[in-house]
Amino acid sequence: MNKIIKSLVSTALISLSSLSLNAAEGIAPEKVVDMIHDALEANRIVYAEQIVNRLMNEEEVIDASEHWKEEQTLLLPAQFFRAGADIVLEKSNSGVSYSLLSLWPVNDQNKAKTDVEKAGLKFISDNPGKNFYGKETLGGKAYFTAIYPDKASSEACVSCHNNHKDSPKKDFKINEVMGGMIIRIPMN
Amino acid sequence: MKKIIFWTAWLGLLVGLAYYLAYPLLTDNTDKRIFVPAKTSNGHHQIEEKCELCHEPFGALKEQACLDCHVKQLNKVGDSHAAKIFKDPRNADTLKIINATSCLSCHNEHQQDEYPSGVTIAADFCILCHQEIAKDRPSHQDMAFDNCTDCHNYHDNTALYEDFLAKHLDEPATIKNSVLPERNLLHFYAKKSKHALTPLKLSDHDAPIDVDLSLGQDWLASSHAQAGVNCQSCHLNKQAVWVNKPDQNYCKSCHKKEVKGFLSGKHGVRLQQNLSPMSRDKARLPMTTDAMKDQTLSCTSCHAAHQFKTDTAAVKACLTCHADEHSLAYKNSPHSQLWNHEQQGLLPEGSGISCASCHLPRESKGRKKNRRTKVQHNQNHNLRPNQKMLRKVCMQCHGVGFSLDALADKALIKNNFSSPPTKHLTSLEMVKKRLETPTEENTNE
Repeated sequence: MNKIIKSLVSTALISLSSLSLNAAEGIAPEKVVDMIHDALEANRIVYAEQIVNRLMNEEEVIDASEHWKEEQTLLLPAQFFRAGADIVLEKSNSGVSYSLLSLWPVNDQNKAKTDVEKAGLKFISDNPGKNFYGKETLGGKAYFTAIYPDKASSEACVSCHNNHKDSPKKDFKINEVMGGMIIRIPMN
Repeated sequence: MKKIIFWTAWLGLLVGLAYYLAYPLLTDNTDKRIFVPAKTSNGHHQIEEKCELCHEPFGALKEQACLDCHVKQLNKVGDSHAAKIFKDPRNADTLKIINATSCLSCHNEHQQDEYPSGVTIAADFCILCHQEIAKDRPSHQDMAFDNCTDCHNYHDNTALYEDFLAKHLDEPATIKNSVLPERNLLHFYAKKSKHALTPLKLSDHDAPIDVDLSLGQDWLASSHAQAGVNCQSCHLNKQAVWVNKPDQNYCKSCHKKEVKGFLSGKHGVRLQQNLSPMSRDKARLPMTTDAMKDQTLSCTSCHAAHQFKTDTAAVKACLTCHADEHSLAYKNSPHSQLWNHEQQGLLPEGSGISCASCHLPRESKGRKKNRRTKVQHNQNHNLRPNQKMLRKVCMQCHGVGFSLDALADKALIKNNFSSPPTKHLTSLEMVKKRLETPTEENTNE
């Protein structure tokens, strides 16, 4: 499982490092985060459709579950995304970070913390289809932060969140914004 | 003249002192304990003479050294507070409170006082980030923050998360007729073996003519001879030269994971770091003081060469050296009684509980036909904090509720679990209550 994560994430990392260089040459930060978002979103789709949906629902070979390690199952798509983000934090020196946050997180650690995160999550929820861009200073460093709407793409997302005992919202519907993908790049 | 003698002596003294201090400092693999500033933790005292394992020349700490030895185990249990999480800029405010990206924030070496598991931060450190825990978990309302670790483990939370406990709410204290999984190395060895697995006779041996065969009968009765493993399999080096006393590197050809575990654990870490082997005089725990006190540790210290009886290695070998209260209490414990009954053939194989059953337990991996069961030879995986033992050890025979209580009872650990737990953790009741509490949505309905 770790090998799959690493190979998919390495593709994204290569993109990230080259994008950082381009940013230094003058590409607008909005453009940089949009490109990172495209790469991350593509990896998410591949994992959700070609791995989880195919193996779990179509071929019925293996399940995906929250306690994947203990139950010897696949990571849930959100956990896969988080695992990749952790590898970037651990291995990359680009300063890029990303995560999935929500106004209604199952895990309290994934609620909005910074003012920009709070404003951004509210904005994408109130303005369907629009992204949010902002600047913030964290730990003395300046960042450009983008927040993209993360919609419930399948019944599995909706039923899992609606039935999870730690979920503060239990009436999600398909295609509804459940949270946001936050991408943060350092501003030099 | 007197002055010349005085200054010559003084100079000689200075040169001698400089040599005495500089030589170990500037050379690798020399004993540097004269520079150890204060008592090294129990986890590291075996390797304290090799400062360079954790320090740069002249003192600076190599934080990467912590990870070099510990990160694999942390990753294995899915470290719930992994340093990488805190590198996310959104956690910058948390880092102002405590630098959770550094091992040293909580594990400071060379302290005068004793700290359990090397944790040197104040016991109520959880409050720094979780002061509002009662909002999410009302069951934790009014709980003190200085004893969170009685139940929770900062890194390895596998023994106490809610969904896990929910699966094990009403289990009996002891599961009837439980047996430990059977080791099955031979099954997998047979698939790759280049020789027949038929038992050998003494006359089949392939040792050189000049080799003393007085231990031949031991070998003949061993699992090695029974599986067709001849003398040269263990006694030939890479150049095909006979070696009289092969070390752990020779065992590796068939027992790779076992040797790796041994070298990573308390018995073999000195060998791993190219130090002299561990011996009783180097131990901090109380040890026996019989005639074999100078014996050093290798594979054959516990698995007597040529015999390789695993039942001897599982109890007798341990008690040959270990003489602390917990070890000495084993012989009168219910676990020991089961072990003795199994040895006498009164109980099925796997019913008995030896020292190794708990501290060097059998671990199974894989599914169905590919399920391999091996012995974990790194006892650090099943030692402290003892909640780590819940899943792979206690739960083999006991319910989770009973196990949590037993592990939390220090008196029980001393008497080697010879009496029922007197301490009770309410973790399971908390989970039960939460599951029975209607959700907000249900309440509205």
